Amino acid sequence: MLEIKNVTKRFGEKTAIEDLSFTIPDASVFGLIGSNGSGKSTLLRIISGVYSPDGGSVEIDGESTFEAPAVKEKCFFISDNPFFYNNSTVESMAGLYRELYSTWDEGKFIKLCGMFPIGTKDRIINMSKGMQRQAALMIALSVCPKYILLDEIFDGLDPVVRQLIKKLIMELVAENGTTVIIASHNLRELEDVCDHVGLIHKGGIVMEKDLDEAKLGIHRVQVVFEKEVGEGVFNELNIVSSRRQGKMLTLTIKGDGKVIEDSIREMNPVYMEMLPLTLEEVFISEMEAVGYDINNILE
Amino acid sequence: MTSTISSNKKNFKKLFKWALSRNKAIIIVYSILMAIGIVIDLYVMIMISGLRSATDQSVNAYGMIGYFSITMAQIGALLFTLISAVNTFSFLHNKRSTDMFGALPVTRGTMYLSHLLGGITAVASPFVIGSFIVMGFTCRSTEYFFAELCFILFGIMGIAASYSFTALIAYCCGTGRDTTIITIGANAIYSGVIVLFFGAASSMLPGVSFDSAFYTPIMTLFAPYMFSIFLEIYYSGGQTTAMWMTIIWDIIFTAGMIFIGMRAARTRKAETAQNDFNVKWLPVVIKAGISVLCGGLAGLGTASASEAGYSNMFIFAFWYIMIGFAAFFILHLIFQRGLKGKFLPSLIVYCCTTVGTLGIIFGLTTGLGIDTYVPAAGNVSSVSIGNTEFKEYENIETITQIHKIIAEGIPNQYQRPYFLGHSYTDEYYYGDSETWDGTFNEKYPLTTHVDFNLTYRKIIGISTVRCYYITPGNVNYYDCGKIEELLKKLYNSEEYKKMRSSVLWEADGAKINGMAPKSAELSIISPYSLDPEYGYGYDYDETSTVKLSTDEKFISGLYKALREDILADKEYYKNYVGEHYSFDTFDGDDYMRLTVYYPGRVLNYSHDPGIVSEYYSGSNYFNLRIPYAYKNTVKYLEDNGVNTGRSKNIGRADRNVIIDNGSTLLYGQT
Repeated sequence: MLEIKNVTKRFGEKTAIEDLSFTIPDASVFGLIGSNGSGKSTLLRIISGVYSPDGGSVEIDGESTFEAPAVKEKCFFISDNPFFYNNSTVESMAGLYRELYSTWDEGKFIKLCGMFPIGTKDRIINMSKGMQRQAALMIALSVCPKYILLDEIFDGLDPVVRQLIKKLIMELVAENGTTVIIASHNLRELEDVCDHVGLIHKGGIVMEKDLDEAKLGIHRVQVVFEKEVGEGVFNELNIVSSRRQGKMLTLTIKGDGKVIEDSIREMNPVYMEMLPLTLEEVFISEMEAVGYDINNILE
Repeated sequence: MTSTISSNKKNFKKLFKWALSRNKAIIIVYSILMAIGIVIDLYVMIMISGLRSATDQSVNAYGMIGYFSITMAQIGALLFTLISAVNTFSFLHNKRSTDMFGALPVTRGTMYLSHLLGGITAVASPFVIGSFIVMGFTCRSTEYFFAELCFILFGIMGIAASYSFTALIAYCCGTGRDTTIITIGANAIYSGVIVLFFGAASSMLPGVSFDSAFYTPIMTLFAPYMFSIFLEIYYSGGQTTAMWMTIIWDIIFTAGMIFIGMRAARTRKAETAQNDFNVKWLPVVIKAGISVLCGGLAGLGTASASEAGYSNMFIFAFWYIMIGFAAFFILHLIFQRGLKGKFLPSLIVYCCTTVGTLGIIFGLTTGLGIDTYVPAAGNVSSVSIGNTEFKEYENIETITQIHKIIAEGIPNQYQRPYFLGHSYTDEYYYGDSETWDGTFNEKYPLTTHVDFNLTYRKIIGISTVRCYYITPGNVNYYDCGKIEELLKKLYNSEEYKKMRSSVLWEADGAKINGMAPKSAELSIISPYSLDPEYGYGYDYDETSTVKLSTDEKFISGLYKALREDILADKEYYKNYVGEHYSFDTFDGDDYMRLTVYYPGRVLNYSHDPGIVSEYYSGSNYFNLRIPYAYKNTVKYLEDNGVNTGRSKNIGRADRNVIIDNGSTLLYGQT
């Protein structure tokens, strides 16, 4: 189990993460979402032991990750822009990790070399951004870590490779019981693989739930009334946002679906439909709820 | 815990290999350069072997090739040390690479040590292998073997110290550029500041001087890139104390750098990559150091060049502040990438440094009066003028009086601070009666400059050294008449006479090591040099005139007899000033001349105060006027078969008794 306990991280006078606490269950795929600069990458770096927290701690199976080689051996971190030396090849990089990680699986590496469309003897630095990510992922998967931390892993990948990666992640979780933490803005892809999501905003956690639970806790309702109704009618509901197009009112409401539906039906609408929300819509709704000025940004 | 430690050890080896492989290009390039150097050496050696026939010359020439090649290899090694260290630790200066290396399952200390040792091995291996190959074919004698072996060892020590220094700087900096600038800057600035400090102290405080043997080890204290080169200089120059001190310091320094480096590795924040200095005070200190150096050089330079009637101190202070601040401002722009951030704290540090140093300079030159300080005779156990050491209170007092006249005359000639001058010149005041005639006697005006050195050894155990630079231009600022009078008093003292007379000196039980023959060839001299004063010689058969050529017992007996006569002769002893190479008092029939020759090599290698060989630095003989009234001496000579000329009616020039390297040349005998 990965526990984040009251973690605070400051860069000079700027606080990137403040008193952040949550737990990531084992053998889960955890999606870390948040606005730009919310602290997702910083959190991944703290978990992987790159950064030391200014306050609090990150514990894996009860042990702090910072300066603990044995704990760090359970983790593998792929940053949003993986580093390779000018003359590095997949084989030479594998040479380093093969020796440093006792969990390295050579058979898996050979298998992955066959799966990904990149040359293992080619200089990685000359490859495209997407291919560099694939190279990093090949090595990460060959290490067979207990925790794999992926920052913007879907960026720059073509749809086929994206599907391949999602499949490999799912296999890893199923076969090894690996916990995968993915920080990404690509919510569409996250929605496919994640079973938990955590929403970070301004260095603090806004929401941390099972994905289904997150999606079930917020609803979009399209409703038409015969006569125009005032805002006060919905006072009993936890409305996150509302938009009007002619007579059609689109409401985003937090709460139990059944309760929301019953409440609105009592108002005798001419038309009413409960629409499912995508993760992206949940994200926007949640961000809106915490004061993220979405309308201003989108205009 | 055990598994963590063994895992760390295992990973250390792996990262060590990784660091070595990261330096592959450097190893290859350096090895190629070493190979080219070896081929050139071989070529030169083949050329030399064709030109030279004498074996010993070839041995020396080959040895010199070895010295030169290993020194060049060392310089190359230092250059590659900088390149390699910046390259090896470049992973700290890139956010992407810190992500990769920071996430690896190793401690930061292991990461630091493995990279450090990997890098040192990468640079040292081609150096050591190449140097041993050079040594293999250039070294033909034990002397060169040990010398070259030491040079290789110095090189390794220099690489280790320099590498660990740059590694530490890399951990303190956010970028490779800053690491390079600060590594080069710190070595150059530190040495420059030390040279400036000692130079300024010597020039601003007339009389206060620092021998380079004193300040060069200090100059290299925090400039590890100079360790190996200076160790070679110390070794070659026979400065064993400085060499051992530097070796010990090198080891302490390297160990210290590694220890601090480990701490820096553990505490370094990964987010400083590509960003800023991890150690906030480092750029502040560097900025202040460079600014003070630039300002100091500008101030001293302009004050030295000024011949106008302005106060040199004012000129010094003006340019010190102006150039110092300009340097500070430019450096701040470079380090901070503009004026943003930490300008005020840096400015405060710089201002404090500037005001502090100016205060020290003013204080030393005018406030505390160090430039006019003369120790009280009662506090001094001995004092040397040049190489002549006086211990008697009366003489010490005389010297302090001379010193006082000089010190009080200094402010007449300079406006403080004083000009940049050099303290060590070819001319040197040996502290003998021969030199002062031309220095302080207005009848024989000084035609060149001399250094008038005084070394006080105080009762409490410390020494005070003063070196005055006396020139024809400034000699008249002093009361020369008074100085001459005091010097005469000094040179007529019994203490001085004893020191300057090998005969009397031996009376105190000291050994005259300059008189013993060093080799057979030096015991024979040409008869034509017998009487240089008169400019002619005698055509004696060289071999027939040489007797008792190695008889030290004879010399000892002669000195004993002569000493007894001199000490018994109160009138003569009163005017006796020791042995003399000009013989202007030889003008009667009641005297014979005793000429003592001694080997030139003893002259060159002996530096003990009072040894007669130093007295006649330009000559290899001295003369003694021996009156026939010196019965003990005459009897001793005649008993040993020496013709003193007393019994025969012969010319005065024939009354020469020549002691040559312990031999006696007997003239007039058949």
